Amino acid sequence: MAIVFIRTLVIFLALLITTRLAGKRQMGELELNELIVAVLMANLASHPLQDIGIPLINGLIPVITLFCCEVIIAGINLKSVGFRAFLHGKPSILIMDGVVNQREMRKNRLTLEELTENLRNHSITDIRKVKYAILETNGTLNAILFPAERPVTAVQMNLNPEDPGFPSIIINDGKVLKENLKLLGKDEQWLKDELRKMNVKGPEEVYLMMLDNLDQIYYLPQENAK
Amino acid sequence: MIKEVIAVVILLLLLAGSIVNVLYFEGLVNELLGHIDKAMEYAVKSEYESAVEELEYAIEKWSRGDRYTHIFIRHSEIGVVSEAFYDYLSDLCDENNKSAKGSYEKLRWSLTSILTMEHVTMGSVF
Repeated sequence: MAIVFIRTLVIFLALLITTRLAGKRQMGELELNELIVAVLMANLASHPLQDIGIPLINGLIPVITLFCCEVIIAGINLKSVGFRAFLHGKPSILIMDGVVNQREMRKNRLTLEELTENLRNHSITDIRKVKYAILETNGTLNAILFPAERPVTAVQMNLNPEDPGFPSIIINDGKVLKENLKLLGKDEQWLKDELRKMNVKGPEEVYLMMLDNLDQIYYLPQENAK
Repeated sequence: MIKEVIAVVILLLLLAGSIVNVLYFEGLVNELLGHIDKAMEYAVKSEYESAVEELEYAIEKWSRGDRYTHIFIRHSEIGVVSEAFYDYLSDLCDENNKSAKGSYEKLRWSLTSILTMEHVTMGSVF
């Protein structure tokens, strides 16, 4: 039992480290090689966990080997356009000027139901409004509407809205995030003053407090406080 | 780029480690085969005491490599070899030459099979 426990910890740490080192893409949309690595890693690593007669190294070596291959492939991918096209293929234009490209649909084994479902995910119900619909190499569909169908922008309306910047969390579940506070050009004294204005004794009474560049505060008290 | 270089270095290290591992097993198995062959020669000449001594030395050698072999070989295969060693020892202690011949062949086969599995051949890969 102890062996299984220790092995599980070792494999978990190895997978955690290798997935983390593989980068954030690994956790989001997977490209072909990333999908293969993710599926294989989980499968290979689990065998020595189930059977203590199999040396743990038989699970670790494949994980390390796959990770190295993935890093090398990702590196070549970055450098070589040809290799990228070979490995991931090219994006497919499924809709052009409101017309579905049936050849590309067949080539990508995509049904009309799947296409319309994907469009609905982008809040598009009418194919005629789509200028381009592109099936990316990672399997996601991106749709670009005709200019007349696109939402109006502030520039088009000759408006000049203020930029609130990026709202940052400055109190997270009672804990002051000093680094964020500093990034926004504030100090703890400013925070104390603001909390006093809101009749809050201290950060421990705050569940969430966010601040943007326009000094707009979003505040949520702890439910059990007061 | 550093990440990719490190990955290539790790792969090369794993490759080198695999070669060292094969060489280690080759050395160990060949040495053990030498001892069990010698034990059989003694048994054929009915020098059972020397045969047992020779085999016990081989068993000790096999047991001493336990820490390493357990890391790289399936434990069931280690069990098969160890069992074959003691079967052979038992037959030599009983001074049963006919039976010893069979257990000698079994031990030889189980040791050679470890080497076959570690060697990179079409058979072992596929």
